[in-house]
Amino acid sequence: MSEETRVRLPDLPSDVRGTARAFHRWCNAELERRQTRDVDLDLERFQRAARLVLGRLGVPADAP
Amino acid sequence: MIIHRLRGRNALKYERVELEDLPERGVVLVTGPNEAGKSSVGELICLCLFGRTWALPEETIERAIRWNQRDLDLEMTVTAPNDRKYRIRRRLNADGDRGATLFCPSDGSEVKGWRAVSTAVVELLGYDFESFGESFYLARREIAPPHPRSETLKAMAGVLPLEEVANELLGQVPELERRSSELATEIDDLDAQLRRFQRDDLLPPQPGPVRSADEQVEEAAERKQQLETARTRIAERMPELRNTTDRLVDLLDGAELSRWEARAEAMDGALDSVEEAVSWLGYTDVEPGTEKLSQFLERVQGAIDAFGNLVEKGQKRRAWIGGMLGEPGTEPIAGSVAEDEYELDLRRTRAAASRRRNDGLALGALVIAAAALAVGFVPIEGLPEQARLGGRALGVSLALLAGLFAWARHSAAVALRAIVLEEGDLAARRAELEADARLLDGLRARPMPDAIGAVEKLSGGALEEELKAFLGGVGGRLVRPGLKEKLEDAVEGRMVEVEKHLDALRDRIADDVQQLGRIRDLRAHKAKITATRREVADRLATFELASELALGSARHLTQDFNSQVRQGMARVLPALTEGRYQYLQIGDDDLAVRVFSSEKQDFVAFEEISGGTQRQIELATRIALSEALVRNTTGGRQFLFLDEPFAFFDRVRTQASMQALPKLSDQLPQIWIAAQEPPQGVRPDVHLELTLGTTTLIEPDE
Repeated sequence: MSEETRVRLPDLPSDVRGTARAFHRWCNAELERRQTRDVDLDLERFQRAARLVLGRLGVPADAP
Repeated sequence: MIIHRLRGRNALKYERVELEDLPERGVVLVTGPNEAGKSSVGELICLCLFGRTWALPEETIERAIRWNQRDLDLEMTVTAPNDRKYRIRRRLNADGDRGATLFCPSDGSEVKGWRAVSTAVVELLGYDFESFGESFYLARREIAPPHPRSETLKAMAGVLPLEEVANELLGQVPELERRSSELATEIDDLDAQLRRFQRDDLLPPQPGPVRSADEQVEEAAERKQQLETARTRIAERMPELRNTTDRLVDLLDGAELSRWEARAEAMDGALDSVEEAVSWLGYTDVEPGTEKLSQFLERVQGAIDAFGNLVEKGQKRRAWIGGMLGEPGTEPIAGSVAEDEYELDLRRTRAAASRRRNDGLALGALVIAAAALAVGFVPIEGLPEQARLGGRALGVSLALLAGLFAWARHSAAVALRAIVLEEGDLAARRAELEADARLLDGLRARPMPDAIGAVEKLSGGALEEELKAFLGGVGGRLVRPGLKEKLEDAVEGRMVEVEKHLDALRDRIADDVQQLGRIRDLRAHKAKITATRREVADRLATFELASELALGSARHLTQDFNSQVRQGMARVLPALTEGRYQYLQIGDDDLAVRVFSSEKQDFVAFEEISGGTQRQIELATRIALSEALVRNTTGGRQFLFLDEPFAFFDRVRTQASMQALPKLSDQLPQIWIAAQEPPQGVRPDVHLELTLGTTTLIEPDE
């Protein structure tokens, strides 16, 4: 997948810190890794899974 | 968080607390003998922040009220990691009434309530009471080696929430798997039920790719609709068929050919209509049930057609008769009656003229002959003999001539009599042809059996054979006596058969419609279950992936945290141990602690080193952990409270540590130290000297 077509998770609100932000950062890195290496990736599911964890960490569901 | 001010009354052992203008960077030293209240200073800070202390959980916090007093009031002013100042105030009375406020002067926001303030403080700081106790607050009794797998340590690293999320999600996996399995069983069961309905004519297999469950549901619904429509159409068309059939039979009472043709056509149409409706059913094993009626109609139509042909041929004969009779507008035919009549008339005229002429001539010749004979035989004076002889001869000759004429006249009369006879024959022939013409002229308009009977009266000709064949075949049936009754019975019987057949068909359709309804319901249910199973599978996969991500992130955070702690230790540990120990190694998986000895040039287990050094390492670990916690939470600057951190240190180590501590970390600028004796050679920024009888905590004047 080319650099232009690679997808990232939507940014978090600026007031989200701590574990949620660290998780978001790591997920983006992981997403980048999977896209770069052409690992079998269900992008939509990955985003849902990341949102699920962020939700459990207290990030509002409607946050980008 | 940096503490600027701590004020209060009747809190723990202190009647009054008034610590103002505390330094943002520097050491606040609290010294005094055992039970002088050094640790209580740390407890006051805990109480103000979290609504509890290490000795007093929230349930028994009323015991924090000073002995023999009714109420407690404590207030602290701090700078939070967000760089805003806050005022935290807690009040208690012996009756259990609690009050607390968290007020931010810069934006005027305020949180009220004991627990609400505790929660708001945790959110503001980014760490809770337990993490506070494992990092920034080193209570004397808590001094212990770093605890591998400590939940608090995980919380500090930010790992615990991720592990909790992963465990919570994975905890739901078995239930989802069970649900998925149940749904699969249900789908198998539905498939088995559907297989029992398998019938080609019920739902004919469609060509092309395999259809989705939704499409199959739609198909069943369409097929059901199709059958219901066919049933309705069959029911609608039957009265028309019965009506046209009855009307056809009624014609036997007498109707012209054109009506027969029209009704046979109507019945044919009604039959086609019923058969068409039946054909819509798509049943491979069903005949319309109208065959016998069809055969009957076919025979009737055969008779009508044959009679029609006969009538057509009759029309040709009628045209020929016209020609024969010399009717105006017809083509003349050689040897026709009209031509014969003309010739006969001509002959009659000629014969009559001949008779009349010979009549005259014979009479004339006879008169002259008589005169001549009179001259020859009557004595007339003076008539020469020659004249007399000549008269005689002339008279005889003329008499002979008159005889000849008389013979000729007789012949003409005979010819005339023959012509009269011929005329009679010709008139009879004309009359016969005219009779045929009259019969043929009204044939189409005559009632059928009568018309057929009339055809028999046609005189000879080429039609005779065909007429015989017609009457001997299909036509004969139509003129047979009692035919109407027989036909009525036959047709009625056939109609009853058709209706019975179609009734049975309607029943079958009704059954099939019911089955299709069931199939549609089963397929709809299967589609729903399949969709639910897909959702469950999707949810399962998402939960597993979410757990994988949470655990992956947790591993990364652990490694990152450990790396931060190691880096912090590499800076702090040599400073506190005068370079004897370099850095610490914490296992990524088990968080087991080993320390690198400069002297041994190798890692040694924590348990292998001396008690004093262990305390130095613990202190260094606390500082490194505190730095990492600050970085991993909300950032900002943070105070550190160390209760008797040098308890097992010798003088040199104490002095070295005391000098090193304020310089170790920019993130930990304010350090509170409780100790029995002030370390020699060290000048704290604030020094609170307590005695056993101290009841007030007031910053001494410079």
